[in-house]
Amino acid sequence: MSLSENQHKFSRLFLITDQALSNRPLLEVVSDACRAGVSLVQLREKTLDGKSLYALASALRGITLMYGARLFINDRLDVALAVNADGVVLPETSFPVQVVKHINPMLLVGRSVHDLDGAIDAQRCGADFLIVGHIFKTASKPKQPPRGLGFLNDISTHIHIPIFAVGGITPANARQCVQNGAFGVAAISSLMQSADISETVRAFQDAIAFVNTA
Amino acid sequence: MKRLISGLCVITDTAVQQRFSHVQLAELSMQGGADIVQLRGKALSTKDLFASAVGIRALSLAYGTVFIVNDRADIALASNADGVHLGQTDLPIAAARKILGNDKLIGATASTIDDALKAEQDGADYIGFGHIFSTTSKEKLTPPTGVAMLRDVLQAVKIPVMAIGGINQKNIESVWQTGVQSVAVISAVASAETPKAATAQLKKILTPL
Repeated sequence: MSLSENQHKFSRLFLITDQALSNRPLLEVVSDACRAGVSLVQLREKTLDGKSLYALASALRGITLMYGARLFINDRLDVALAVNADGVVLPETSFPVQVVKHINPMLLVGRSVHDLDGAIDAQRCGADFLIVGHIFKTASKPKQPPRGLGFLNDISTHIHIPIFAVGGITPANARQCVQNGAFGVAAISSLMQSADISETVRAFQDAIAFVNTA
Repeated sequence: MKRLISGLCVITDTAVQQRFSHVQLAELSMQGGADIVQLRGKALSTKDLFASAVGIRALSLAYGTVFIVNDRADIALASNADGVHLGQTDLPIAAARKILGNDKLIGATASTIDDALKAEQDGADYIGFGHIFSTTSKEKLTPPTGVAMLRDVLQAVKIPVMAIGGINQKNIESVWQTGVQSVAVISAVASAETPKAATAQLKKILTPL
């Protein structure tokens, strides 16, 4: 598989925030991650009200710009527009993709999907990338069984936009995700809870760089 | 074009009642003569909130009703509502203004005169002031302001004020007599046996003084 023009817009490692998982301030964690080379950050803090989310997003916008990283906001298009984020990530319970593209065609739109129909639909509606999961067992979704690498592989044969695998992703299993059709991986707990983020980022990069996906 | 805030505002609520959806309540209120409808669906997902907003927007154009979305500037933008109402834990007024531009209404909640003055200074188009009376539809951390403080706010700010909180058939006249530009009700319509008739009755009291 050759990389399309589209895929060159993205690096392969996505950091998704969850400040409840970390015992350090979120801004510190994200700064460290960006300094170590993470260039895709998604602010995803579902329990925060609009005011707190906006404050956090503004601060993250400063940090990500400083490191040349892209900032995405989960679900809240208004917060994304207000802080000039690079894009949004829309869960299936969020806006239709076309609505966001209509409001601002420059905004990158990722869609998180959990099945093939959702993936195909998101691609058809103009999503720039997909976040597909959960692939492995994860504490954040204890009740639903993981989808597995076969699922990832199956979806990837129908999708030409970049796919980021999510859910239980670690440096140890990231390579398998890329070997099974993911363009990259999205990490939550393995970065948020890392005792040495720069080491973890390096381990991710080693795992997913130069994978032969042919 | 920016619409005017005046008259009766009905806030849709599916927490105090489950008989009607947001869109149904909005339509019944419009049939009853509501001047403004505010969509407030705190428990809804973005997808469902957007769908409700699109439905209410179509109705509001047909009825000529002003349509305001509570909390979410993005839903207001995406549904082309007339504006957004921001509570004290929502986006800052300036952030919402940046997204919505000058043609959309931005309302801000205030429960003190200082809050109201601050919101006016920050560029709000109107103040949602209250709660005027004690209310069960929202958990409150402060005591009711009463009608007297509403009078003070009306003296203090130049932008229109919408009185809110615990307003019903019995007390709405005392609120309207302050000269307030708009009065918002929730349970008085949502929990009424016939929301349309309840709206019409309230509206009748709000004839120009």
